[in-house]
Amino acid sequence: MFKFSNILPFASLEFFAFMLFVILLILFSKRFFQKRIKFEWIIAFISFSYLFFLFPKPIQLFGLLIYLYGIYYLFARKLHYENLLLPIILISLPLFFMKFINVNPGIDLKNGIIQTIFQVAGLSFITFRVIQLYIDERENAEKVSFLSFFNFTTFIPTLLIGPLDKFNRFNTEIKSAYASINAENYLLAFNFLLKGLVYKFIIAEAINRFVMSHLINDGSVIYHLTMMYTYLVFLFFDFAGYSLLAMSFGKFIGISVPFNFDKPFLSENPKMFWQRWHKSLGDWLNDYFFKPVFKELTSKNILTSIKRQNIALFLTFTLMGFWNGFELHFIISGVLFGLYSMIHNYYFYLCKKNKKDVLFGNLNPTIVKYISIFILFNCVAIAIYIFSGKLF
Amino acid sequence: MKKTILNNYFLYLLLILGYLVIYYFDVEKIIYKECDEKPKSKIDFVYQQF
Repeated sequence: MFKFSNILPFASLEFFAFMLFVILLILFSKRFFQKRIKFEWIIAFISFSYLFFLFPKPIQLFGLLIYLYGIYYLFARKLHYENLLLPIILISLPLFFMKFINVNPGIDLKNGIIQTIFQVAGLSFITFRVIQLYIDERENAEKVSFLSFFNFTTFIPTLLIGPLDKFNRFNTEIKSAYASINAENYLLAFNFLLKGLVYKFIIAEAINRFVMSHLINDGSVIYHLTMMYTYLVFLFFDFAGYSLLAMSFGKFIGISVPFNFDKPFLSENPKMFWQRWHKSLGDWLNDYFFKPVFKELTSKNILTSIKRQNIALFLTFTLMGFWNGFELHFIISGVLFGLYSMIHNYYFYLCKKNKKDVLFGNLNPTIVKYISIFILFNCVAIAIYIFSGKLF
Repeated sequence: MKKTILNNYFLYLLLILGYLVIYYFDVEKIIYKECDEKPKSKIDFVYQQF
């Protein structure tokens, strides 16, 4: 009945059995080994066991981690390399290669062996984590041992699809993890678990099974509109449910995982939306791409501030599109989100410049708020529908 | 503490009813006689790339 191989986080009953085992193991170690065994080693042991015995393609994953740590070690510790570009390109190389293969399945390198090596589940998130680690911690490279690198990149609850954490925050959490395992946090974890199960396995599953799977694509506008809104709601419950389950697992073992979703459909503008929808990715892109690009453009001093902001915004969301995959629908979806942000940014700039709302004038702010929510919801629905690949 | 856990009546109800409808009785197969298409979650979406 149970099959303990190729188990992805939160994807099967077997994983939840494993999760229960981990929670009990950590509780046991807190009770009996707290003073003798450091929490970092317990987490490393659990992650290693999971990846080696239960995760698909463990050898490839361990190979990838050794490669990534090698790049980090070489450039941050040995060479103290100042330029960020070369190490980041080398860190991103496996991800780039895998995305490239996905859009060119006809390419057959060494009878598929090369493809097999690079296609590792969770690669996109691991790459972003390592880039963040490199940018933030290259000055303090001495404190990043392989153990802390391994724990950070392979933390089971967030391994596959986030939320994207920061090394410093994660490290602080892991150091105080034993103390965080208490009744209050168990209660929070239980509430996250309950909500996550309902979101992912009941609501999202019901939408998928009873609506999405049975919509017949006759090419009509009605079909596309129904699929567009249904897919958006489905994706929210599925992804937010996953994030809640990750938060729950983390909380149960004493490590807080950053939240990812917070009523995104009530957002009034794109900026607010990215603080509420996949927040950890929005934060990552803001800190490690938008800000450096804007800073670089500012240093050139050739464009006005609003143009610099808009170029940086557009490039940031286009990168997000490429990060999801090199398929056309991912790229167009990213570009569209970039355009939304640019338009809103320019509108905000005009309002500030003219000291009045250039679009809604003196309309009641509450009405403006609801109109904004409505417009943004529909814009997001279009971009996410394109992202889904169901349109083309 | 007890009160907070038990306060989620609505979520418990959804979880139990949802489990019965979706998984235990598999109502989808009763409503739609022919349904071979497998559901695709976010994880399936990520995994299908590998």
